[in-house]
Amino acid sequence: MINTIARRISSIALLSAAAVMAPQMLGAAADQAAATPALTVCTVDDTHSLALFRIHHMGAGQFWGRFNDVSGNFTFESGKAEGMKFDITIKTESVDTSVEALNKHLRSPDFFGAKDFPTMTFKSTGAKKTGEKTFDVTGDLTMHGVTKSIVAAVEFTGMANMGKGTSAGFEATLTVKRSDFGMKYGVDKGAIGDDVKVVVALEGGVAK
Amino acid sequence: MGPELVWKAVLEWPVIVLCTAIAIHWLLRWKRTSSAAGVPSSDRTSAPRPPSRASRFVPIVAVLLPVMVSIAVQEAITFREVLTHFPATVSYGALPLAMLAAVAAAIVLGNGSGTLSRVVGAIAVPSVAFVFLSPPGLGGGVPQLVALAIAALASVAACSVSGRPGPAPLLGWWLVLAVASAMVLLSGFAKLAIVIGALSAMAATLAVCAGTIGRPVMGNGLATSLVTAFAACAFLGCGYDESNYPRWTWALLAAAPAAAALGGLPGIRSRPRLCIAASILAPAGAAALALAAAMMSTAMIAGPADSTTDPYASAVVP
Repeated sequence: MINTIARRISSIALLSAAAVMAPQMLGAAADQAAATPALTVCTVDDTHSLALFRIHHMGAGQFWGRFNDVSGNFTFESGKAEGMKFDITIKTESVDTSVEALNKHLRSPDFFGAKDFPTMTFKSTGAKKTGEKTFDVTGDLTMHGVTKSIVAAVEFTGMANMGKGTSAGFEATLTVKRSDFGMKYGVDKGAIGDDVKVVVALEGGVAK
Repeated sequence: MGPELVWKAVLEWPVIVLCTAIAIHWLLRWKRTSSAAGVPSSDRTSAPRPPSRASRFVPIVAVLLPVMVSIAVQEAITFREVLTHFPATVSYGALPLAMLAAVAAAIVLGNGSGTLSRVVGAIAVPSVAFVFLSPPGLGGGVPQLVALAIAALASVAACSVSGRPGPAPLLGWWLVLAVASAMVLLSGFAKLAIVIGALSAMAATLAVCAGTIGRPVMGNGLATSLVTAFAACAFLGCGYDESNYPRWTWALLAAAPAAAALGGLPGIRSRPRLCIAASILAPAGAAALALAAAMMSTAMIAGPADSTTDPYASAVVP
């Protein structure tokens, strides 16, 4: 009898101690979480993302076109280059210049060869902070079956609550030499420029 | 830039060659006339020149050279690199290799005039080339076999009239290749259109040479290698078509050279002028029909209406 009472008292004491200690333990766990980077993972929202390209035409005007199908994901921690990652895929079939005849030609093997190379991808390999909201992101660009390391100037454009979820945005600017990727149509005669300026605007929903 | 280049390749070069050839022809004729001024007129009557058989190596000049040169110039690479330049994923990059194989087979099989050797050559040459060709969505299996069957039939038909002397069959090839070049260009593939344009220009050049220098017989080797190059280009054009032309229009284009066999029909064969007109215009007409049908079919197909209710709807964020 005495033993039973003693056991119950010790159980109550243990439970009381646990109840007293629990908030302190939880606080320590929260402190530990705050010490590790709070990475935000976003899935690219293809409705509000696109890639623009600009090319010199016949030595005269600058011609702009776009890719409508941009997908992938990106990871970042606000204001930090550490942990920043981009894994972006663009469907070459989605090239759009608003002129169907031009779209057909750009999809053909003369340019992107959409049937042989349905996608082009960018996978980041590193990032360096260059300003309050700007970064230099290094990565592998695969286009037309050729992979080359490039550096893109990336700007963090903001993060906002959309009501049913949070979205974040980045804008990347880079210049590629298309002949490096085996896309030589019109280069040697100077009809169509070799250097292509690319602007990629990304908006992504934060993964829950 | 594409159309100008194609028309330059198809028209400018042959016109320059034609003018030069006519000038040389008249110069030689004037020289012959003046040197034979003392000979009695009865001895100077010009009897029709006897036909001569074209060399079995002509396919190298007629097919392989224009394909190699046009690709080398466009890609700014050397002749050797033309065969190795393209990654394995680029199906049309195998075209020079396919043409090399076809021309080699045509040279080996030669210009045999027997029915059996003609049929064997007409089937073997395209078969060797089509092993290398597998354009996107048409590689392996049924599409490749159908394309090969069309090429073989067109090849047999073209061989049936390849023994006719004179430049008419080559003039037919000039036109049929020019139409094919236009169709491939309209489908969106300018580089291939320029390759076909180069083949067309070479056919015109050879036609001019054939009309000026002598009365050579085209021979089965040249006929089969030209049909193979044509069918291969049509097959690749179909695979890379960005205009979504119906496949049957590409099949009709590939089969167009077979229409030259009309010149061999009993009622036409006996009339030389009609026979020449048939061998020039029938293949070109068939190719033009394929082009017209392709353009009309795409013009008639209207795009589906956009059913999106909210143009700002997002796939990720509601």
